[in-house]
Amino acid sequence: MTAVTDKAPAVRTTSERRPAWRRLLRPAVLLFVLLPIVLLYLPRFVADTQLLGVLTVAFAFVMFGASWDVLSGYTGQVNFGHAAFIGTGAYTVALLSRYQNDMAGELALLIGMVVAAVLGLVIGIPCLRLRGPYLALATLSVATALTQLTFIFKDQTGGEDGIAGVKDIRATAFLGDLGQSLAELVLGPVTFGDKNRLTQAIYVEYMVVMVVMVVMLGGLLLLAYGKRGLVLRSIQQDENAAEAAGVPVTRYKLGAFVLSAALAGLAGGLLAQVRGSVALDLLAVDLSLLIIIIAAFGGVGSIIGPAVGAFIVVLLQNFYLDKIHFFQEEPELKLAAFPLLLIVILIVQPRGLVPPLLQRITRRGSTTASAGKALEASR
Amino acid sequence: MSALLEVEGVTRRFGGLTAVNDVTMDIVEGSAVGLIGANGAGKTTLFNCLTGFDKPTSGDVRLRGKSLLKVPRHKVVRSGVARTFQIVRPFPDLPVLANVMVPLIVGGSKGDLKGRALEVLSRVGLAERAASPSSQLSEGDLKRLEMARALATNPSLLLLDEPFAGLSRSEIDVLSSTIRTLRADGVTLVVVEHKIGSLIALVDRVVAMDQGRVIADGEPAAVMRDPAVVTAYLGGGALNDTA
Repeated sequence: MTAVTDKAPAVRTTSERRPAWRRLLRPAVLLFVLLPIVLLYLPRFVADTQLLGVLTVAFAFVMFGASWDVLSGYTGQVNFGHAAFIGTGAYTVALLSRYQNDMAGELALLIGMVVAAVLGLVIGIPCLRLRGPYLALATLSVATALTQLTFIFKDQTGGEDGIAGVKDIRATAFLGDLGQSLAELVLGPVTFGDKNRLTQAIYVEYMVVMVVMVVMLGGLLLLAYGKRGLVLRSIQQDENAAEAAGVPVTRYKLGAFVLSAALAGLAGGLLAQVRGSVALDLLAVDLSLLIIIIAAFGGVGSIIGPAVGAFIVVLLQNFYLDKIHFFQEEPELKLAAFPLLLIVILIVQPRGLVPPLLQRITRRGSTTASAGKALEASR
Repeated sequence: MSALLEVEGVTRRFGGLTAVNDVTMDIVEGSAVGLIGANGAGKTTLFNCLTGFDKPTSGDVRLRGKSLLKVPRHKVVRSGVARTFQIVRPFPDLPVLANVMVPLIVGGSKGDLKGRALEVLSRVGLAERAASPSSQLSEGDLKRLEMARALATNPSLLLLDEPFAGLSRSEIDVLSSTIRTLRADGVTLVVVEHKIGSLIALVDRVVAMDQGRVIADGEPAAVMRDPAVVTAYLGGGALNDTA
């Protein structure tokens, strides 16, 4: 009778108590310490400012992918219109730059984030009742509706032309200074000072977007691999069972919607400041689909997966594919390359690139595994 | 003894079909009640109404005098009513331990969650499987996992929906002894079950339903002799199933 004699674990757990962070130690060290340092000093060794510019855009996409994953990977509400949130953040920042010229860039970013979050809430409430293809259609149509809105308010949003002349990051009070200090730290003040204004801007933007990305990823990883992440995953696995376990499903799903939207809005706003302009591509279906491709490529439901996927896809798209003669002649086909690549990846490794790797790393030092083994050994 | 759960005139209609028809009963604290009836008798619908997964068309369900009808599902759980599902619903991609940690986290448990989760698992005899992915468990272990997940919400009333369905004889024995330990721990139980023989060995009261109505309510032996129950069951042919 196992049920009666099974007293061992209660005693054993105290000695088996190992903090949860131990399980994540190795990936965490990589992500929180090594990666930021590598990314920080990278500009010192990369003289190619075009590559730095592409990396900056890649950082923004990392944030797009990771913020998408909070909602779609963790609660299972697959969002086919993430661009709606990105575009909302970007257009808010651009409009503020146009109409509130003396507003600090950070404040504009913050407002863009809040507006995107409110949109997330407004969409999230009706979407609570939708599943699968219906949810996909609803999220897809929101982004399309926003595109139409830019045409209706053409005088303000510039319609198809978008808005140019968005104030760049160096105009922000704190972030710009931070970026400049970091760039000077890495390159040396003299080297940095010798560069022309345009080149300096590329370095500063790189630094700012990189810092925001690292902070965002860190926060999301703590959330996703902590208790709240576990609760979110339970919802993704089985909503009814989660409710039976006492999970306030509605609150968590809406929370994920709002957080995902807010972070996408922030990343979108940053990208607007980096590009110095916004246009309809930031609201387009293409962008939403690219984010899904990125997430599936890297591995849904791991935060790191979509982040890695974004990095690889943007670098490939903007840099290496250009070197291939075929794509120089047919640049439009670059976009087709990714769905194809995705199909190959999903056949070879349906869970995407990262989760299988992650599992291998975390399983080695797993607390539960060792506790379970100890229990078996005690029998 | 006071009633933990009061069910008063609960009716649930789906269009023209009355699945549960004016059911009234009290569940006394510390008791174990078996709910029987042929397929379609309204057991699971009643069950859903008691746990907030469905709302009665009329009538009231009260836990310690407080109505549960306007309470959201997760709060019904937190107020002390937990359930399992007829068809097991684990979180398949989460390890066994994590399955049990979810209710502990949302229930506001502090400190050593893993230790607490292992304790709950050991109550159902599943501690040694803590690290296994729940998708690798046998049907019997899945039933126990469901029970552990329900127990982790710290319920005063636990409703088990066909815990023995799909289990082998030996698995039923193990699960029965687990359920007995829960009773000994003071958990009030309501068990829906078709395997009458195994059920009446566990409970001290049986409520029989037919076509949405309660047709008999009392001591197991007396209910099983009740002519109305015999007729209802002979119609469904289920009395032969005395596993």
